[in-house]
Amino acid sequence: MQILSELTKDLLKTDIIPFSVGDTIKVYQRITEGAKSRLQVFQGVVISKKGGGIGESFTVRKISYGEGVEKVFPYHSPAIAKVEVVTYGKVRRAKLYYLREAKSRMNKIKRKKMTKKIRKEA
Amino acid sequence: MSLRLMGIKIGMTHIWKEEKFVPVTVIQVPETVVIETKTQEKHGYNAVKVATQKVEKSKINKPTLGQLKDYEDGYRYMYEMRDSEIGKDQKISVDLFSEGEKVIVSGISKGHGFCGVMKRHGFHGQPSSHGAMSHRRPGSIGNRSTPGKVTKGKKMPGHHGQATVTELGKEIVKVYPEKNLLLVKGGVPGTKGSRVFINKWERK
Repeated sequence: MQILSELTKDLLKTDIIPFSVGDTIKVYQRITEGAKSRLQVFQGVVISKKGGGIGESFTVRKISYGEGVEKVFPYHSPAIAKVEVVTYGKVRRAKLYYLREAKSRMNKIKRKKMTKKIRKEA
Repeated sequence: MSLRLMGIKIGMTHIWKEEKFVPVTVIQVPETVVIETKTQEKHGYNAVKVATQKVEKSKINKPTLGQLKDYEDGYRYMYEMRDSEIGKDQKISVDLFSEGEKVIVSGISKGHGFCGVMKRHGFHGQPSSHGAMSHRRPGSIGNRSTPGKVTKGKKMPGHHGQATVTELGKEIVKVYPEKNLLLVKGGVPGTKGSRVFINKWERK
């Protein structure tokens, strides 16, 4: 196990802005089509974070034209150019899977008060 | 020349190569040294004998120790490479292989014990409900009095796994000479910590 984690240590990102479950974030994903590459933005609520090390991933959910859409991003993928936090949410669960059942509750996530600590991290 | 290396399967992880996800198996190749060269005249075939994975000499039995009497260290495993031209006392390591090379990997697969036909041979089985009275059985295994016997090689329940499995065309993704590690794309037979052989693939 130690060999594996040491091997992938260099591949881990250190420059990602910290965010947590309940936050609304913008994910900028690099998409390469032939020779061209562009950035695609996916904005939504982080409903889960799972895994550790190089296998860590997070799920972002948004409502697109009335239909729920979820995307799972590998945290350390080089295709993710950057992550921006739009709002910090205040939630009491680690996994917000209940949002799948209740669309209207998505907008009801309370905003977290901007404490000094959060401001520093951001 | 048939070059091959014995390694220890460490486990699986993944890396990124140009933004593409590549699943890899990490194989550690312990220090390997040539301890004997065999010749056509003396032994009837050309080969080199190598010893690998250092271990205290007190942990080796006396017959094996005799083969290692010229060496300070003891080695746990020994194997031969046919028609190889590597000289005695030379050390060999992972840099025998290069990135992007296709190799043959063989190991002993995970043991599954005594298995039924569904797990062992992929039979479909019978319905679980609607009055079915057999579920995971093989069903019929032959005809009646003609031919009056079960054909040889009929797939039946029995021991599954723990057999030598050889896979061709495995790609070497990365080589770490300083860490003695090899990254092979995809899976490799066997459990973590088991021995695997990485062979040069010589296509004729």
